[in-house]
Amino acid sequence: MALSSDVLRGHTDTIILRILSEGDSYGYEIAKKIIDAGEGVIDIKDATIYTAFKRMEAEGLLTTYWGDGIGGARRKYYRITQKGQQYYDEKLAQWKLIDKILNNLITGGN
Amino acid sequence: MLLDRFRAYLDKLFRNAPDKKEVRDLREELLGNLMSHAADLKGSGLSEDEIFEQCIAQLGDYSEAIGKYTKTPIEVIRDTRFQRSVLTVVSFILACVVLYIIIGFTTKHWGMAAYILFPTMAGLLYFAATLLVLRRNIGRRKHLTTFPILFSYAAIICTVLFFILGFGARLPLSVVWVVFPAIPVLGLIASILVFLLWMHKKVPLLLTLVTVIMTSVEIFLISSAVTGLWHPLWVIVVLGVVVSIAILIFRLNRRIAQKEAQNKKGY
Repeated sequence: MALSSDVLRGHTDTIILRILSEGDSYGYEIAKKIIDAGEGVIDIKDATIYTAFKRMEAEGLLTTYWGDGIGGARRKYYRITQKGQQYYDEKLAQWKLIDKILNNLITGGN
Repeated sequence: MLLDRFRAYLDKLFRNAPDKKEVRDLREELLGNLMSHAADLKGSGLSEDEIFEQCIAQLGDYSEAIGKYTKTPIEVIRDTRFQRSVLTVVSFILACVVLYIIIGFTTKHWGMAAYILFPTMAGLLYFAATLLVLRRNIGRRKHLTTFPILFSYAAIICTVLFFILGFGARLPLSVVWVVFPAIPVLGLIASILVFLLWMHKKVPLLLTLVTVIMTSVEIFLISSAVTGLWHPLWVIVVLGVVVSIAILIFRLNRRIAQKEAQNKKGY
């Protein structure tokens, strides 16, 4: 059963930046990577990712360019900026800390 | 073909969106994502309909994203470009009215001045407006309104030529007015129908209804002018209206049935 994308709320930007830090990508491909990595538990729509794209582009975390598509349609590619990479590194450090704390709290350190 | 189906879907999704670069970019981005998703699913054994449905379902709800680009009526009215356009048109019309009053007082030919000045004013306004639309269409490769505009010019030219030839051949005025709807109006409608069928486009319901009614009116006018039986022959127009209503009911029922079938499929 796929959970609502509410599960990802608050982490969507970080997840997208992580994917882009590994290479430029486009909307559908990013959604597909999230769904595939979610092992059938996570479901996310292109529209949710698009909202995150616009927000991060406005904040200077991403840039965009048009590339070759398929079947007569172009693809809009997203690229992480230096500011976006710094933002991701900060969020990653925060996540590792929270993950450790929550793990201690929920599992008792087991 | 999937590309055409996706384009048709996006046409509906964006039908109320303003014509802006950001909106066009968004539309193109969605098309690119849809085609990429479809390419992924092509080897999976799904039918084209199933691929189409899955790709559309994956898109999600873009209404909020598109809605951000749509101006409210108040915002449209407050837009300075809109205000400038309205001011320009009103100024031009007022200038024509002032010119008419001046010509009327100086020449005393009020009627002739009105017959020449106001149709010329309307023609110039129409010409200016359509030139602006054509320039935008050519620049942005949007041709939805180009062909109707060109057809309307053809209709205007045919009408003027028709009256020149009619009066030049010294036909009676009653014959000219009776035959008038046939050449420019029906010719315009026929050329639009031929164009749509040639481009394999769906003929709009309104165009079909107008064609049926106009044809019945023309048959009535010509047959009445030839036979002189104006009163009994108006039943031809009534028949034309009845046929139009039948076509309207048939097409609406078919549209409702298609929508119900789509709703049952779940998208």
